[in-house]
Amino acid sequence: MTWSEFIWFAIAAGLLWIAGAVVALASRSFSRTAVWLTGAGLCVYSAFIVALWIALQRPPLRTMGETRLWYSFFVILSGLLTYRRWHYRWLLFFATVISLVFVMVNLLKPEIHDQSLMPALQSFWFVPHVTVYIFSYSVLGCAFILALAGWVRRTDCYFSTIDRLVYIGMAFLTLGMMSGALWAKSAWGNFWNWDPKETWAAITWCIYLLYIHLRLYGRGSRTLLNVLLTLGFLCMQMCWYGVNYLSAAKESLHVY
Amino acid sequence: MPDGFDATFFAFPVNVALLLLCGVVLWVLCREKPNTALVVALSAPSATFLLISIVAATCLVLGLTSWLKPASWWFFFVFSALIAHLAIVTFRGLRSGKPNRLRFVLNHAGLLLALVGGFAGSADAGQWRLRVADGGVTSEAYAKDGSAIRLQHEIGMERFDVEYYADGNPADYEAHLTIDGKAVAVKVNRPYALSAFDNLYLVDYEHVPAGERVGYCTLEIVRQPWKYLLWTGIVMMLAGSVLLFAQKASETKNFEMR
Repeated sequence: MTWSEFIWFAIAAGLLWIAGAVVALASRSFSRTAVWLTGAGLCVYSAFIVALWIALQRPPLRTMGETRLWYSFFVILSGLLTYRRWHYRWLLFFATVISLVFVMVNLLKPEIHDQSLMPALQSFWFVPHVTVYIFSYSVLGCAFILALAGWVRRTDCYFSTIDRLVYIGMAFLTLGMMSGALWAKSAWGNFWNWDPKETWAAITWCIYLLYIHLRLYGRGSRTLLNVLLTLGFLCMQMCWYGVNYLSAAKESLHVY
Repeated sequence: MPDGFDATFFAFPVNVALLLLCGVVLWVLCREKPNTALVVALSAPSATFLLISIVAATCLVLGLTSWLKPASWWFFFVFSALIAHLAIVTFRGLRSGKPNRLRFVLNHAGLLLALVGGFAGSADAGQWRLRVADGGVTSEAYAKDGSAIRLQHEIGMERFDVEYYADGNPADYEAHLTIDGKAVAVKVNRPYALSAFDNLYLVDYEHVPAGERVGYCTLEIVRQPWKYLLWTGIVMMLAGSVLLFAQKASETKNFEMR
């Protein structure tokens, strides 16, 4: 399996996800058909990931393109789990749009898919560190969608769901950051180096930490909380790939 | 902003003495005089919001500009205040009957230990590099400022193995060293423990065409006596994160949207 076959899996999975999103939107109540359609799309997409993993003889988690592959997978998975639990019928639609944007980027930028895995990344921590981070990004992406919906509709009714998503996202964000610290110790000698990527990870972590504490004490206006969720999402994007465009990235330890 | 902060002033035993003094003062204040202005101010939720916001803003400045350095007085004050706040909140949390107390303690005490280990421990930490030639032996290493130290070990290189991908990029490499005559292999992600506080890392080597013998490798000795405290804090936070995922989100207090 190579990236040249990706387009066929992407089309099949994308059509199933769109069908699931449309069915969910059109249904007045929770739709099992939407769940099955979206789940089928995930199966198709995960078949490509597994086949690529086997073909590359390493986890496909190294390049930006590979992390985008996982993100588009996890956004749909998080959206599906949230839809199944809380029945927001429009959520699958937004999750599908976000996921397909990242699928399209991977289709339009095929030059990023390098086969080799450099020695620095050959570590026990590589797979857990990257997957928990990407999963947390997808869950917090769903929290961002809900925040936008609440902002546009001028309602507070989504905050209890956002809280649950932020707790899950924060748990995985912390797991990613702490596993990264342990890996950094074994690779570079220090747990924390104030590298640009680490600094932006700390900013993102602090923003969600502030959200959690404001909610714990019942403080913060709807606008402030929505601003924090938006800022958190933007800083997360900065941490993931935006940091590569900063001049400081040239000296970053995280350039692979 | 000028760096202006010399961590060496706080090297052992000054850092330990200061930490013990501050810890005891905060503990006694929390137990005996919980209503004093300092304890009330440091333990208030508004202090939590303010400190997290200041840390986020500080990191933002650090992330976007080169104006602020981690080794600066600003960092020193911000993180000292954060550690004092976390200590008081953790002391209070230990004594209260909070729901999800284990999660609270693991996350807060874990972060406290990690911050103390990294912050106070930085005064005792050090890094020195040494270049070892193929077949050579050395016992001298250099700090970033160029100052040399005499090692208590003799480190030599017997050979350096490199495996390549078909495209010529290195797939794996390993330095076969002798440390005081004992054969040791060091590779990236697999440092060698020279002592309880010192680890030896492989950081670079002479890049030669495939098939040619590597002439030298660069090693780094990292001294970090407080790493065990950091490890403990990080492991506690990992456990706390699992509980954050597994347990229900905490109830909000008197939540009113404004």
